[in-house]
Amino acid sequence: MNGVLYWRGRAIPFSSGQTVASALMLAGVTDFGAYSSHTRARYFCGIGACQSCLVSDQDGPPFEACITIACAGMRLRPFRETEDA
Amino acid sequence: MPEMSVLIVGGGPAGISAAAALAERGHTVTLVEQRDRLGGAIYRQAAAPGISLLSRRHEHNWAGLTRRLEAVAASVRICFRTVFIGIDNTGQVLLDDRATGHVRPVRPGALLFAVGAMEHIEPFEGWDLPGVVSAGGAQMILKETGRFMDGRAMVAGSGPLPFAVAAQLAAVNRPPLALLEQGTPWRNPWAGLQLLANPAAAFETLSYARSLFLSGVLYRTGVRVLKATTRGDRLAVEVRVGQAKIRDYEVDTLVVGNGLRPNDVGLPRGSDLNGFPIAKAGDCREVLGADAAIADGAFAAERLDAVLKGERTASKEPRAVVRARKLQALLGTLTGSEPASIEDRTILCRCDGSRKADLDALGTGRSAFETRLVGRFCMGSCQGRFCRANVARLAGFDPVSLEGRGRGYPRWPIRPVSVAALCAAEIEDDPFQRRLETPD
Repeated sequence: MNGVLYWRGRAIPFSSGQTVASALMLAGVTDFGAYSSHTRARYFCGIGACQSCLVSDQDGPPFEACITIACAGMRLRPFRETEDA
Repeated sequence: MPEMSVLIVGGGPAGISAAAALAERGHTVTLVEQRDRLGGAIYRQAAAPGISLLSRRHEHNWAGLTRRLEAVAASVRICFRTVFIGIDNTGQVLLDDRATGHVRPVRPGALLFAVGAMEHIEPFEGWDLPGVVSAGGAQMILKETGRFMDGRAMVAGSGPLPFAVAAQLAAVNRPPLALLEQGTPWRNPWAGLQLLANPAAAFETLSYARSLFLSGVLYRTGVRVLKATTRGDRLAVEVRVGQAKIRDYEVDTLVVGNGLRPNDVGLPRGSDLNGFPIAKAGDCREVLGADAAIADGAFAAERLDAVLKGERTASKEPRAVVRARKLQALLGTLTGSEPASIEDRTILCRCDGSRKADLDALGTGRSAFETRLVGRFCMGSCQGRFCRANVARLAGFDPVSLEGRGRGYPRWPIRPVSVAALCAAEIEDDPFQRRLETPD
């Protein structure tokens, strides 16, 4: 079973059981937006430890993309940005 | 026997093994797992069937764990998408139930952590860039999808994990440009021979080596990454070969890793918190790998059972644990190397974007407390999981001193949590609430 989620409005396909992080990375999205003044959010450790891959679904709280299963219709955005650009 | 409930955090080999062993001894167990499946990082299952990268040994062990858990299913409650966020000095545990968005305070009879290992990263300029992933992180994508990011990849670091990941990349027809090992294993022929005398380790090493060789992956030793910078859509990676020679590579993905360490940041130390029994099992106690974690989980369960029943145990450490410790020591000798010097511009704390120069600017008289509160090191969302060891080494502190600890127990939350959910939780005897009600 396959689905589609959205990253800043861009359609990202995924297979059932895939994490948000692997869906984004395999679609070529490596930069997950601003993080600190000098660093970008990005996929790194894959086990929910480094907190580098935080993203938000619409107005929801940030979560680790690497341990969260992708769901059809998610509208993801960088966790520090407020607008779904 | 009275019904006693044990809370286990982590659904990998140690957690599952401990859950089964405790249930077999008559306890009711709640196992919380942050993901939506059991298995942990080592037995991470593929999203689609037919692409498993698990070795036959791991498949066999995973099947065994699944069977043990099924046999005691009535006494083990599993909560998925549930994250441990802290414990206070009275044994009250806070769980973030992400499926419902609620923070749940619980008071188990005992607590067992089985949260595995995490990677050690030696920082270099640019390690924080998008496109740089840890060896374990690369492996998670491979195990989950059997695929990898488009373009050129390179693997660098030290120890068995980068070696395994490079071979697994080759196995899915995505051989990396190069596998750069920091250490110089060929300088330790005796350790190499001893490794080959261990049948499981020898089989794994040789099958990885064969896969790397057949795919023509360049394997170099004594090589360190100095710097990664963005060049167009790619990463320009500068490496040093031996003592002097500098080489440049251009890649899309740079995979890095310098070994594993217990994932114990924010967990209470010791086996007792004001009379509340606590245990650790598997890699979060000591990094010995999945096979030992299964034995260690059962061993921890046995000791916890004795504590809960007020009995004494004279049990010996399992043989698998002792064997794994010897193997780990051997691997350490084989691929060990001195940590590299760190440049001023290198980011130490990725969460807050703080550099080596920011640590130096705190002056030589800095305390661990000042390093945290003024320098903001180990204060970001990862709580120092990735910078603590490096900051401690550079500043000459005990890594534990860089954790925020109250009266012997770590402050919570140890993971990001929704403030609304935290406020809505009905926390008994909340120290913050108490302070509000009885002002000084």
